[in-house]
Amino acid sequence: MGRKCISGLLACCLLLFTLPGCWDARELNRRAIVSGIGIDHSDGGYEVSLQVIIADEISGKTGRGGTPTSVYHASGRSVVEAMRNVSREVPRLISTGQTRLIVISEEIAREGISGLVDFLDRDSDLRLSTKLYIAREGIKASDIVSALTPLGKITAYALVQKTDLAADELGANFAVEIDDVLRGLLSPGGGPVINGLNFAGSPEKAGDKGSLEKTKSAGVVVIDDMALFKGDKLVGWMNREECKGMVWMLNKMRKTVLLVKPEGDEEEITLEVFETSTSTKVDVSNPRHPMAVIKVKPQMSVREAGTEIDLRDSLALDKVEKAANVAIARKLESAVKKAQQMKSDIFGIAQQVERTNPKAWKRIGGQWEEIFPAIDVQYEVDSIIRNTQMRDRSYKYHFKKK
Amino acid sequence: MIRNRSRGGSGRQYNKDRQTGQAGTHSGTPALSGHLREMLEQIRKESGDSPDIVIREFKIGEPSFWQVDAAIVYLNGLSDEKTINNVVMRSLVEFKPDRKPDMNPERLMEMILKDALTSGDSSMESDWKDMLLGILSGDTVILLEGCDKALVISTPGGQWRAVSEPSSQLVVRGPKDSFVESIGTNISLIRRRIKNPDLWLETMKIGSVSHTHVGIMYLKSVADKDLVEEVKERLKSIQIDAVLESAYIEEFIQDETFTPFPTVYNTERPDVAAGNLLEGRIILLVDGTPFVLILPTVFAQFFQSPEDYAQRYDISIFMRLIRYISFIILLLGPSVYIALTTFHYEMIPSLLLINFVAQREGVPFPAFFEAMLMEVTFEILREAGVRMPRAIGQTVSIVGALILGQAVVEAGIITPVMVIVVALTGIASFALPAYNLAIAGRLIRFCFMVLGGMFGFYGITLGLIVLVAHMNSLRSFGVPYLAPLSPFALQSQKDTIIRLPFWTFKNRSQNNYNLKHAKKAEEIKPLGKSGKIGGHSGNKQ
Repeated sequence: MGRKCISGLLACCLLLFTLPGCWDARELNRRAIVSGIGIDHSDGGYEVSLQVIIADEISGKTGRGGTPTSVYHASGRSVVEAMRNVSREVPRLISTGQTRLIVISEEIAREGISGLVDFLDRDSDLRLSTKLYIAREGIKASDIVSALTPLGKITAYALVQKTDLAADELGANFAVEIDDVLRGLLSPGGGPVINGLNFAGSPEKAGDKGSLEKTKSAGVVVIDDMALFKGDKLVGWMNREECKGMVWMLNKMRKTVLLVKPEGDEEEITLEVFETSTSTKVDVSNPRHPMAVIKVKPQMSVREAGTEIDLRDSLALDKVEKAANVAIARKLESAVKKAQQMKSDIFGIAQQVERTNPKAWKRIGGQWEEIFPAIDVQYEVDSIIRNTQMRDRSYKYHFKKK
Repeated sequence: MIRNRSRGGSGRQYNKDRQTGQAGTHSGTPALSGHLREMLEQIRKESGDSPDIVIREFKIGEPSFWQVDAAIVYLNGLSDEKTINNVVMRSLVEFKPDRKPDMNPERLMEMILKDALTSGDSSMESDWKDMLLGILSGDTVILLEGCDKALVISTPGGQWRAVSEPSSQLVVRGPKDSFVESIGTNISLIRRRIKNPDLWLETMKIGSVSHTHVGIMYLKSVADKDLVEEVKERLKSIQIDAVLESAYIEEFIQDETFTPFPTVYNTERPDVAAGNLLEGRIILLVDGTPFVLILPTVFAQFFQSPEDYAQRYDISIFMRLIRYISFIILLLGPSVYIALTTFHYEMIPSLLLINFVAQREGVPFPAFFEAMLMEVTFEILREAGVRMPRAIGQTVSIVGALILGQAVVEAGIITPVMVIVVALTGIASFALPAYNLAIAGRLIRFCFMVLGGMFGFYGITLGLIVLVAHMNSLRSFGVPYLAPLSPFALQSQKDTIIRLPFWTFKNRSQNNYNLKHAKKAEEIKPLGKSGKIGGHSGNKQ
């Protein structure tokens, strides 16, 4: 009896589900899959450029030999309005669930990205792991999403791969996702750092299919240095050194190369850092003048040594290590100086202070903007050379012997 | 010659008599009359003077001093004529009773039974119906003038299919024999594996018309006594005219009718039957079918193959996992594909998505319709292949799989991915060792396709919840269907989803999770529900 009642109820509940029907069902061939979004400034609002994947041209049988992606533009007073306006151009539903790249023009970034980030955060289709970029001044975001790449058919995905690879191998940047930007915006007195994008070559020709017919592309999008924000506004660009220092400060360094000149040597030695960790400690004993100690422990291998140095000698290695310590500390210092100069606590030292001494933070939190540029930062780098690859001494060492 | 005589000159006369004769049987002549002529006439009447009933009359005793008219009756084709001639007839002819002053036919029959017959299985029968049933089951009956008892001698014979390799439950390594249609042979196949007086057999006849022999086998010391009683109770309450396959019995005794899941296991392999007996289960053998019923049954049993115990345990574990995975693919394969492409495109890896989109380009149907089309086509092909003579069966599979599959893609009606998905689910359904569970899975798959097509993963998740709830509600003779997973029994996990080496099972009955939970189940749902069984059985006609 009881079971019958329950199963009857269950059946009724199941019937309820037929009421909404298939309202959000949509076949794949009724969707326009957006791989990248470019956002430019337009009169009184935004101009949105959507890079839509033309799947047919990539793997289909019915391709017409066109470009693998197509870009649609529209303007509106807000991003959403602009995106909806695109539907006048696109016959299919604009689906941003697979979008991996969002490029914002520097112009917008200088004015402030808070409104835009709210859209990125709120939208249910866009992932929080979508990567954010700033197109450097003079370059339109729409040009970047319109560019074609010789390797990888979809520019947006290729760019994302470039970012990840550059972060892994060079360490002058790291992938910045919407999520990271949100965190940066929320950190007191700080702001996000966002990768910049630039062109090597001509932006106009990069979108031309003809550019793929040359071994030397007429225009290639490259990952540039990172943009430094204060709050939601872009305040400056860092150079390569500062970028590396910042990545190191944030403990996001995975691998990088380092050129050092050990004491008493003429030629530079190239080291590869393959493992490193950074820890930040804050001393708030004097709340007016907090101190920060940055400890870095990199492990390195010698990659290039065009000198006569004898790498079997631990004293020689010591010299190299010392030189590396100085070089790394200089990078870190340059990054910190830059941030202090821009008065933007991109490293989240404020949070460290709050964590170590919440009471003091309550007092000084309001004036963090003045305190941060004056923070005394100490760098303790303890690098270790783990190996010297396939050789210990360079072949040049034998010249010296003779 | 004798047979010719017995058949009589005019069949019409008997034909006329039959109507009155039948009325006579119904009014009931349970006892034998004792007059040989009358009895033989009665047999002829009731069987409609069937030509395959052989009646042979002769005289017994020494002509010099005392002789009695006797007759031997048997069914041609069912009883072994060699035995009758060599054993029964010879012993009767050679039998010379001593001179005894108080000799009467009844005493004579006793003497025949005790002294003369060299045949093993024989008994005295005084009930008319039982005697007749004996003849119809292949026994030989001896009747004497003036004796109201019949001597029933078991002379089983006739043609049966020989024991051969199983046709539906094959193994690479393991015994290669299978049950046949004869219950006697089947019992012997089990007895040969378990030589133990503890292995009990009880028989009963089911079917008001067919009088089919049904055997209940169990290991007395291991099987649950209440369970045996319950099985017997349920069997007794079956009201049906004929039992032609064990499935008839299965449908009557199962706990739940309205479920796609089988709650009684069947096998045509004696080694499986023996293994289950050792685990304390009960086996029902039905005459006339090679499929033996095993109960109670749990869901995990349908994923076990006798080969699991013939291969190394690590290999067995892998094979079992493959089977579970195939069941999941079978249930959810097409529905997940539909849900992914119509609702959750963001969950597909980008490059794969591009591939899918490119394939979808120019295909006219929505994914759901496409899937339905292909699945139904596949079912048609399968159904057609099953019924086909073997020679044509291959043509069907070639036309179906190769030509149809390829043409449908090339014509741009169906996407290639869908063909892959359908083919995968089809093959997955054949990876299950139990055919009846595979069919259940195929059926449920369609429900999931509808759910997936209407609500995406949300619908599939709801469907799964309902499915698990339903499976949890199932009982097989009081044992929860999902035991030993729910309720959980750690000891039984050694041989449920995985199979550990044999030495980890300290003894076999420890491995028997059924009994452990039968008691619990009793509390959940009383076993004594034979009244309900009678309720929904009814007469088949």
